[in-house]
Amino acid sequence: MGHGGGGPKTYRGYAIEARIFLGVALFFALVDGVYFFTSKENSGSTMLVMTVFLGFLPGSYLWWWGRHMKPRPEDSDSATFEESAGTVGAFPSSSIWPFVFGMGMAGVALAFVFGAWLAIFGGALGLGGLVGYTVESRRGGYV
Amino acid sequence: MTLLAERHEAELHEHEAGHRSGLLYWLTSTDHKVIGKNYTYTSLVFFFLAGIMAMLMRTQLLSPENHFVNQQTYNELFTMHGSLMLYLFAGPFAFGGFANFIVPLQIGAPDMAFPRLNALSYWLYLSGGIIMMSGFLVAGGAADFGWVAYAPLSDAVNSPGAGADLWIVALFLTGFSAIFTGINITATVFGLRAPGMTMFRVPIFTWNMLVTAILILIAFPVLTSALVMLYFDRHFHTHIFEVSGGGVPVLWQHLFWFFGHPEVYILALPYFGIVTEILPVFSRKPVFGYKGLVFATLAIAGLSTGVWAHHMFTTGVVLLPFFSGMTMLIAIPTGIKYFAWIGTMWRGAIRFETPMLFAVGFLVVFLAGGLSGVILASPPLDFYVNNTYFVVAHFHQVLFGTAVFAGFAGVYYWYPKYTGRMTRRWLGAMNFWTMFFGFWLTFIPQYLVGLHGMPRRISIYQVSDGFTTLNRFSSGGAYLLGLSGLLFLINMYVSWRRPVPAGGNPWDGGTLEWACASPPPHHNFEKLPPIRSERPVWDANHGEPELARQGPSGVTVA
Amino acid sequence: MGALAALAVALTGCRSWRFENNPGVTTQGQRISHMFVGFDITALAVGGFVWALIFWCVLRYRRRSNDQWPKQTRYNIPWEVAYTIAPVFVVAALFGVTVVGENFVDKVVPNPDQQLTVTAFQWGWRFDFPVGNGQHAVVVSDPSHFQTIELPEGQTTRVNLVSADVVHNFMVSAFNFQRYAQPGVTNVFDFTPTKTGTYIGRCDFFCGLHHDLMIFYVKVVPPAQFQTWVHQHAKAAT
Repeated sequence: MGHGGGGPKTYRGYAIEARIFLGVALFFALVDGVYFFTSKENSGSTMLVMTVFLGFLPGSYLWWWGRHMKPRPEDSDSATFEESAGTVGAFPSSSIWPFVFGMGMAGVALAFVFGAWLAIFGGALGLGGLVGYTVESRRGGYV
Repeated sequence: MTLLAERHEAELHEHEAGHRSGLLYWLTSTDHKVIGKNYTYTSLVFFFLAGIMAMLMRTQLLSPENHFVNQQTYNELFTMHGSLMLYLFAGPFAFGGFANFIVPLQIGAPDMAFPRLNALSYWLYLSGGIIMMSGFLVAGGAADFGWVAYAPLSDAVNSPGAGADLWIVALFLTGFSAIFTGINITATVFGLRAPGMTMFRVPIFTWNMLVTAILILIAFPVLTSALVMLYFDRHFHTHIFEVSGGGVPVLWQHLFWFFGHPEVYILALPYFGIVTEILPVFSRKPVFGYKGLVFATLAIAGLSTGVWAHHMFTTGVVLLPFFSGMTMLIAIPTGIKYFAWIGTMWRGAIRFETPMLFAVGFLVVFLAGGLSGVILASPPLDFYVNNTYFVVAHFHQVLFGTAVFAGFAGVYYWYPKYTGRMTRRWLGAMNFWTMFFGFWLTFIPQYLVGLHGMPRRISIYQVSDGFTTLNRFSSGGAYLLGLSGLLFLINMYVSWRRPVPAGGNPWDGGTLEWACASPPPHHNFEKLPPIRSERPVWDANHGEPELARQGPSGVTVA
Repeated sequence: MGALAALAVALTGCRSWRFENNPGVTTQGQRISHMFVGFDITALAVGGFVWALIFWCVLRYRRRSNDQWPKQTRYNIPWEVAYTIAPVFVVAALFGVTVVGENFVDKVVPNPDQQLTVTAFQWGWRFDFPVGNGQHAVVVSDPSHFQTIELPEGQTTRVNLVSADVVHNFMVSAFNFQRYAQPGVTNVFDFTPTKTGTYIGRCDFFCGLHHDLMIFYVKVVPPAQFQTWVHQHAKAAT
């Protein structure tokens, strides 16, 4: 895997990334096995099982998608900058909606301390922010 | 058209259309560099606030039966000092500040994968931090049950005030901030690398941030759930943690530490990554044992999730050998890292610029913390010193060693990239040496006074205890640390106001962030060098072409 | 740092050769003290070795001139294998010592000489010694009165530790021991004191406003003296 003087390699898509998450799943399955059978303690065993799922879900998806996708320039040892020509992704440079939504969430959080009435303002901001976010994504630009 | 040319067009139009400046620019920016700087400045503010709290506590402990602050205030101070440092400084400084700015640059990406989510993370963090601090303004005072908030002490009967609820909801917000950042970092590293930047050419800092991001995804949801349960117990009359209703108080400890232990590795791994960036550059050698470092990082992260109950050895209800064994195992990958760092410096050509001073300071300080950790990993020894100042000294060694020594190393290292200016070398050296001496003077006495039996979280001790002299040394050290913080701020200020231009690559660094201008332009890169190893800029500037990089050890560069 | 070490030695006299640990005045505590010394020596040896390597690099490998380009070594498999394997042995040894020591310290004998129920509450302690015939000697220590209880030297006292409210921590530092008092849990452990004297006890887990005032004293006395004391208190309670 990259060591040694042989020719340039191309990795299958998301191979290493999938293995990281699947490794998480496998490792915690082993740890949980040892832990549960030696301690029979419920809360830790449950949390470890959940961690197995946390690894398995993205890991198995990346594994599956990696087998079906075209090779990417970043998985090839000898790719050049020109191979990434074209659109890489959408990177909105400015947007008011994260701020609005964030303030909405903060307002809702404060409602849990000072009273439910705050949730009206927080919720309104939050909902507005969510709508704005989505509309902005659909229009592909600034709203 | 290359991607950059397309992007340039769009940027020009954007600037012509509605030029945003000032407050509106700051509120709406989704640029990872702006957000990274926001996180850095905000977390440093929390750092200095928490540092002032520490000095107030140390002043209270100068004398037995002192009344500098009363017991209630002292309890709020140590709760908020811990909460600010752990939740609002050390973590966000690393995965909000450094990761946001540096990771896209190191992998050749134009931004993070989800720029608006990134901005949202910052606003949640800022609002959460302010909400937590606002506890000082409410009638009952701020939260006062320690940063760990054990049930039943944190329930409605024992901690009835709004300060506690503010603390809980603040952590809810900052927890989501961290989770969103974790998702962002993972998606960025998986999906936005430049051509030729395979996973095993990614710089170790970025690897560490990736592993940190995964740990965040594992740990923070558990904290968030535990906080929801605590809130329900406090306000909705559930009895999850109350014996009288059939609940189990120890459950809080399991939940909290399942989060809490990975949390401290979330706070440590990024800083290990920073040190792994600095040592090779200032030793003029590549990273030694790259693959070993990657696997060690993964091992540390995995093991750290399985050791949570070593914080609970003295409860009497956990399986001691399992947790003791797993904890001691972590010493092995940490040792691998240490030897790889030493191997990087070995037979190098070391120059002690300020970042290198702090990086070596980290190596010296963290080692002692790690060793005292192995002592604590043994339950019988833990029965002796748990919850005494021995533990306080241990975790300050590891946390201060990482977040402060290595964190300041990162500030000094990347300050030229952020600002286009150099810092003052002599002020940096003064900052380092006052911090180094202040640190040992503060914490060695704490190891000793802990062995003599002084518990933590007490504001009053008796004359007959015999703790006085050691506490006075420790407090003196704390004031020295305060001075070192001041020197840091002075260096930042002077370097900003009287700039010395830095250029694109003042340290002769090897990783991609040094391939662009300082500070980097919008969407980062004008062009990228070919990526054939983990240090493409070095290869471009010094290397023989192509694949000799991947060959056997010992390629001499003329 | 040398000055600090010298200072520490000067301050504490006879503990210094034990790296500042308590010698432990129970059989359990003495074992812990010995283990601690062993761990300290190991830690200092490992630490000393690694610090020496770091200082060697710092002193020996300075850049002499701007044209100095060292060998660009990226890996060395034999060394990497060595520094992966060597710590495994150290850790295994420490773990083995730990398990043996832990079993010794936590062992509870089937027939202790004396029972004691300790109830921790905000912010004091209630000590209940059953003395037979349904009688109990009860001592309550609180912030206004730090009380002293007595324990028999050379005999095994079984402690049953409970909490009336929040999490507390029963710690007698001279015994090198602490155990949490938690609501809903009864923690059971033994002390076998080996040396007479008066030792301070505290609450070692933060439990609220007056946590630092949950102090009591344990006086270890010969068994006959203990019996006198405990029967005196039992009579007083009835």
